[in-house]
Amino acid sequence: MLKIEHLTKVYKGGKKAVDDLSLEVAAGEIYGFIGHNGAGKTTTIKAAVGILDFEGGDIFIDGHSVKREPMACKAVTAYIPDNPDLYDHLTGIQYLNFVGDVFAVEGGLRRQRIAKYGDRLELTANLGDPIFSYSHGMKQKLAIISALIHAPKLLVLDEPMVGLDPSAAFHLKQIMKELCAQGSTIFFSTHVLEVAEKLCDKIAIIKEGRLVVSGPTHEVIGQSSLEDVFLELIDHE
Amino acid sequence: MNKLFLLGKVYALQSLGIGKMLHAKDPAAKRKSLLMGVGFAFLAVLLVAMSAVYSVGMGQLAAMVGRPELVLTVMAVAASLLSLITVIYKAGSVLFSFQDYDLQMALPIPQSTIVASRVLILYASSLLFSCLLLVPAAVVYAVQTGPSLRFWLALVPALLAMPILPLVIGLVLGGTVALIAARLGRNKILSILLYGLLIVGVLFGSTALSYRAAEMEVTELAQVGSQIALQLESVYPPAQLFTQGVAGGNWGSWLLLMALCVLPFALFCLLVGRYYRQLHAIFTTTSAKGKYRLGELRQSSALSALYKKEWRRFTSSTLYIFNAGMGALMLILLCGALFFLPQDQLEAMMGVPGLAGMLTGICPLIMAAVGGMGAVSSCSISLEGSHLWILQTLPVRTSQVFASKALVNLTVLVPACLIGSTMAGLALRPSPAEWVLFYLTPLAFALVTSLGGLVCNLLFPKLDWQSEVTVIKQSVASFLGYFTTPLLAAAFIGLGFALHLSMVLVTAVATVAALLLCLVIWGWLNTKGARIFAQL
Repeated sequence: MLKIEHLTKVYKGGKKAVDDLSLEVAAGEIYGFIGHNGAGKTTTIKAAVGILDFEGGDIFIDGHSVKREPMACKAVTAYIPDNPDLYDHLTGIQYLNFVGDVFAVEGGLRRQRIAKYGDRLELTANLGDPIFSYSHGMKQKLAIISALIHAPKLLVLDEPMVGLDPSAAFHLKQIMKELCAQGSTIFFSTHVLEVAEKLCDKIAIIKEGRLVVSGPTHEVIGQSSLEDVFLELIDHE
Repeated sequence: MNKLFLLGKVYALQSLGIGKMLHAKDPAAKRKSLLMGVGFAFLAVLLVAMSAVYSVGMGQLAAMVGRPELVLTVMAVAASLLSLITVIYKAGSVLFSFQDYDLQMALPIPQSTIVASRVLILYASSLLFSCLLLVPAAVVYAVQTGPSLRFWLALVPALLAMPILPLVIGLVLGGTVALIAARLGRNKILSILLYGLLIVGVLFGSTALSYRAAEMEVTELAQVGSQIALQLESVYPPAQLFTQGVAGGNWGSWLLLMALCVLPFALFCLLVGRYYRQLHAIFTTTSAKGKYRLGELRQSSALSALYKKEWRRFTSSTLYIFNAGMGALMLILLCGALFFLPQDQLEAMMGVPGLAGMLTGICPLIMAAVGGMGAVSSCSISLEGSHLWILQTLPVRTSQVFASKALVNLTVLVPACLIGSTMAGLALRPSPAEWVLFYLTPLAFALVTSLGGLVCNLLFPKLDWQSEVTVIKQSVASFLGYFTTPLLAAAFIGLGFALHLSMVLVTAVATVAALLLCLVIWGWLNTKGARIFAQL
């Protein structure tokens, strides 16, 4: 579903944010992407969802190249950033309708999905309020609903648990499992290693733009914890 | 004072692009910043020249009645009025609605210092107007009377102090309107109505004054001019104090002027600083109602969704409406004024011999020029700011994004063009062929304005802004959006006059040229423009 081949991203000034990164995420998998601050996680994610251009390699989503077929890739992808800056001048429902229209989600189906996820995340009652009145957590929830409204094949999240209350975080994890059970793919970065350990089918650890280790979670962790593995790899490599 | 300086420095580095110019690693970005600085400097020189011409005329009239110092009075009032108008609708945004409010308030900086730093941002632009108008006036006065060194010593501090009082008045009025509007449900309607009344009042007032002036002989005008100046002094005492203190050598008046300007500023900063958090909360806090019930939802097209999003952005900001929509408003007012203004008086007022005879030929280009003053689209890409990731990750074509922004611009301009063209046509009674141009020309140039604004914004984007004032009023793109179409229309008018061509023919050629230009611009937007947008 998601295939990153020899991805290289160099910023102006020569800083290599991502260096020859390759990984593959199959359909129905939850894939965790872990690394220090500045390791290249967000750069990789932004390159995959079409925000950043990149110098080397390619990224394929559902068989389509992000460079050559960006529209086909975006049509099946949903992205939730770590700090979702949404359109403050819209109400929640206006924003959801905006996204729904762009993805051509039929009205009845749209209503059904908004009701489902809005009730689970306890945001339905606030959808009529302007987004500038939302807290950070409410904006995060709205971004999640907007990402799910078109039933994406690939859901890309950057630090999705940031700002969510425990109830919302629980529901998000449940939603992620449900989506994968239906065949969707989840690729997300996180600093919360316990969540990655419990939730992810596969894990990749990145350091200074390079992949240090990747594979099924139980193989990466072995007999120890993900925290121990991470600290060992990152601090002693 | 040190902290005030630090806040000012941060603002200059961030919002004025000085930081980028100094520290950008990309040579192209540095060059661009430098070019922009040179461009602004050139513009400033141009504005000073225009002000000087006006001051010379005013000075001659004042000298005729033996009161050369009246040029200072009139210009002091004009500068104060200009400052007042521009501050009124920026007050809310600059004082309360800036993105690093949380950061600054969390630092060990007194609230009064933070307030003072925000006020000084507005003071800088007010001082610019003051200098543009008063320095040439002072030079004209000095040339006429040859004053002593004392005049210049008194002038500089007075010049610095003069903008402060209208600034404080503007902040109080504008801030009050913004605070009241923030509390009411139909907030935008109230602020739009209030600002609209103010702007229309000023425009009508100055137009009426120009109309009266056109009717008079020069000597009569000088007499009336001195009476008007004296009346202005009584209505706005600081202007009189300025004249007496600077030109008249009255130190008592000078000191009183200083006190009148500086004390309200200090009081304002202290008072607002004292209650700043509470005032900010009134302005920015909105209690979510939390009562929404999901109803029926209808699907519409991606372009329609983008358009609705853009339209809501435009109408969410009074500053955006009035700054970018000014051309449309002035077009309607101008064409409305044609109903009441006899054509020969217009000729005398504009100082263009034979204007009445060619008015039906030239009117469409004038409408095009006026309507083009202020492009909604010229700051629409910059206003995406930190929301740009949404458009970058959604499956929308760049052409759809551009089309939606241009359509919002046209939504503002097309009705204004149609209304204005109808009024102008009814007033001037053109021939059937000219009737066609009355509609087609402004509409064609409206399209140029809408698409051209996008080009300006793509070439000069500013996404990292803290306050929308930076983008809407202070960016290169919005500045270009103001002048590009008027200059284009004026170029055709100038060409017609220079070559003694039929203005109907010139207008027709200009209209065709405008439509062709639109095709070229659209092609550019979908190729190079799309690449630039993808790199933002």
